[in-house]
Amino acid sequence: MSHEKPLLQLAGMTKRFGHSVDPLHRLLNKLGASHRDQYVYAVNDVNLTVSSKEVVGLVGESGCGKSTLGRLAVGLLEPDAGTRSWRGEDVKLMPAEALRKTRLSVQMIFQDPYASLNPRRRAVDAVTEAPIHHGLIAASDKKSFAQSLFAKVGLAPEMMERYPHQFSGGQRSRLGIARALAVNPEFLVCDEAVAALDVSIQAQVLNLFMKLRADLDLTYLFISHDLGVVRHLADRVVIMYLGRVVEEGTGGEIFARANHPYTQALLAEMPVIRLERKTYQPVVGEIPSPMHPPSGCHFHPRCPHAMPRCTTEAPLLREIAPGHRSACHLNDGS
Amino acid sequence: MTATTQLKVENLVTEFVTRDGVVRALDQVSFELRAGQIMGLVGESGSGKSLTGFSIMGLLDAPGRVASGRILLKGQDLRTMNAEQLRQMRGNRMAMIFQDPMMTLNPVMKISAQMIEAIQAHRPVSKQVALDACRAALAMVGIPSPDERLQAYPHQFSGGMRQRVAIAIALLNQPDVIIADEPTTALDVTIQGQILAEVQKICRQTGTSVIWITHDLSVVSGLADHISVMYAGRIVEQGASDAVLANPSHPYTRGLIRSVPAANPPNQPLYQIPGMTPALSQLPKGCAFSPRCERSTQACQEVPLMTPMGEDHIARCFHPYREPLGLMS
Amino acid sequence: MVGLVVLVVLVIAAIFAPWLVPQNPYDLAQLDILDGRLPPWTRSGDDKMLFWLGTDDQGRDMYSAIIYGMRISLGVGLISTLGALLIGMTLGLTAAYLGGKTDSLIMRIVDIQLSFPTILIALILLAVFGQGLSKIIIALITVQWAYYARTVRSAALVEMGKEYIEAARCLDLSHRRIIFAHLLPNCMAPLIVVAAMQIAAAIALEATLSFLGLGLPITEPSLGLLISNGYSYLMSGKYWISFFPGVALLIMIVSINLVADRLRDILNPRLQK
Repeated sequence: MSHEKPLLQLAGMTKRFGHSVDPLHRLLNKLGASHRDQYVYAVNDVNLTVSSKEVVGLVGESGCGKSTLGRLAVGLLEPDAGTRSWRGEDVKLMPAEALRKTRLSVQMIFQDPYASLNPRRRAVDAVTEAPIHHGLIAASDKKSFAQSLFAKVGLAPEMMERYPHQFSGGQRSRLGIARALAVNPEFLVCDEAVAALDVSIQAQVLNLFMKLRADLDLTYLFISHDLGVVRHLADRVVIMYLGRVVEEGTGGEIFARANHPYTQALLAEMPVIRLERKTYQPVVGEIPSPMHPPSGCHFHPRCPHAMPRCTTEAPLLREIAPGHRSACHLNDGS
Repeated sequence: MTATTQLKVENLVTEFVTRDGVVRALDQVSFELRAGQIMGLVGESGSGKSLTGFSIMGLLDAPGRVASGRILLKGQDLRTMNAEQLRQMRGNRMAMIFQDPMMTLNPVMKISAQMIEAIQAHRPVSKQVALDACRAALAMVGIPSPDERLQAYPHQFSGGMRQRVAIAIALLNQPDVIIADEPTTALDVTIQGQILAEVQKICRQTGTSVIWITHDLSVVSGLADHISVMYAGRIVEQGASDAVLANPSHPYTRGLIRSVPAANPPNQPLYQIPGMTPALSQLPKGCAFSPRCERSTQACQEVPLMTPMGEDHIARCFHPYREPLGLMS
Repeated sequence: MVGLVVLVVLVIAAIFAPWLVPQNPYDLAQLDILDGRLPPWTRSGDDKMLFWLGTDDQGRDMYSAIIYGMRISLGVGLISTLGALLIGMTLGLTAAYLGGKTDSLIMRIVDIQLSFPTILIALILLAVFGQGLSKIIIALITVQWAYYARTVRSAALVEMGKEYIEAARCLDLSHRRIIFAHLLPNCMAPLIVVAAMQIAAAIALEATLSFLGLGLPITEPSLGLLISNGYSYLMSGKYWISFFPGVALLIMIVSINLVADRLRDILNPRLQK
């Protein structure tokens, strides 16, 4: 499936948290101590391109940096290095008015349907606050605007005057989606948007996402730890581990011919309803703390195929098939 | 492996006394668990699955109470016991693991202290003997260098490690039954795989029975020998995993399996069960699922009884499906 | 419940003071020094008034003086608490929202402020600025704002971590809107509880200052001053000049504390949700 031109481009994105050595410890260092900068590289030199009307699934486990990357994509976090471009233009070089439009064009759907809504705002206010604030609609059109939005996301219009705690989990998810749609975005970043929902509600909300994609020509960056969901929705899949991208490709390629050992491990654990008991042969080892990532390839302590080279040299993302890239030294052989 | 019954729950009814009247949170829940068996108790939020675990353990707080039914642990009815007898049972003959391991682990006590306490509460042994038992339990759950780990505090562990420690504590007194309430829901899939492997191994080795409470059908399908599906406080389908998953008879079970993304062709709308789970205080008359069911008729105004669907397979439905679902390989 | 009833009675009495008392204690013309130091339930020299609670050394009817004194105490307590609340709330919210250096700066000032005993600061301020009602209120505000700033900052930091604030930033709402329309309403609960209790503390502080002679002038006695005036008479048996104002002060503070306690219990379960 060929897509149109790139909508959002992240190049060389790096985001770190923590602090450098403070003056007192720097002094102690001069006297022989060895205090180091305490940084966690949540996202380390990541490139990501999402084309118009595409759904990209971003997959990984805790500490992989997918949530951070999602926030970098939306602009909630400022990167320490790298550029973010919208329709080919670097956002840092955009004039104020264009920048404001860009901000509204990229919206986020959050994971926790409870915490992502202000408990003291009625549904109608939550949804219409931003468009009124930005002058997209007149204050007098509040109710009718809210009604049309509610219809789009499948909420009954009578729920308008209620408070978030009077909605169920699935309804709160829909409310969050309505709030994001109120500013006419083109790009939605869904950060584990269905993770907290029951299976039957999850199906409803995923169907809503697909319907909105078709009706409103939306583009998605769908962040999830659930490969089953990603497989269903995504055109392309990007897999992250400890701040780096380890594999990316189309959905078909990744699920049929996963290349990186970590991807293979994830696929082996993918939730599937089976008819014989599974004999679990899981990946060994704990997910390392992002504070002290292993040297070289981050995955080598847990990788069944690790070689000496993997402990010293971080593998680069290389194209192993058209549109399919993987960062593994095993691909260099042969 | 013997086929003795470890735990038998008969017609368990749990009620909550609220301002608006008495709400029946669990209605006629029954199941039987044999030695070394793993039973998956599956349901969504509000189905009563966690409540079943708490009711069996006797951990219900007011205004909830077990109203009727029998809970037979190796033949002894737990409901006839007084508080002191129950306390001796808990942690000893039956143990519980919670979703959030910090609920089990005291953040200001070392692991060794907590584990030794769990042992000494039920057996008069010396600290040294207790420590040996702790080391053995930690090794059983696959924790390397147990001596180091014993001296650590819970916050020094990752989530997966903490859950393993919680399982180890549950195993310390070699209980007959372990009730695990969504223990891997909050963990990453690769770590979840590790924990499931350990639990599988332990059950096969020690003959402990496990009730694994979860909303995740795929986990129970890989792990459990038996499945009980709950909806609105009642068990609606029960039986051997293969039977229930290959031929789900109750429309709710069938709908649930069909809603999973893996069971649908990619990029097509997922099958979704229409409507919402009813609130327990406003259950419909008769079958609680009937408002959402495409097969419901006038007969469904009565609560259905369990109907046999095959060997070791029953469903609480007047119009069950009888054909296999045909989705799985 | 008891506290609330008592408090309501006191507040009504304070508001409608001029109509409830037989004598205006501030009007020096109405005082007759010959009526001074009369025990409770005595008639005045000219037999026009019955002094229910006796008189003080200047012939003031104790009952009238106490009611008027409560008026001042409640008024001062309320206004200074409100002022401290507004200032502390704004600074605390700003510190939590902006973070970084602004946060450090504001919090260091708060720490410095809170490490001095409140009475000491109040005394210094009053010594510098002189006496008077407005100056007392300013002193009380200065002494109290830091506590609110700290409380609201902790509550705000918790709320900042929640996703609805991120959502508001995503929607590109202005900082001011986020702080006052989103952050503030969700931080109000602990603030209300603290404020309720602080009214009592402010009243007590004002009474202390007046007792020490630095509060209001002697012609407009607050409860503290009344107590102070009667202090020297305690030993000679004329207890009523200190005793009754003391009891009134006690009842007022206890009822406020009871109401504040109850308020905290009512607001707490929602906080824990």
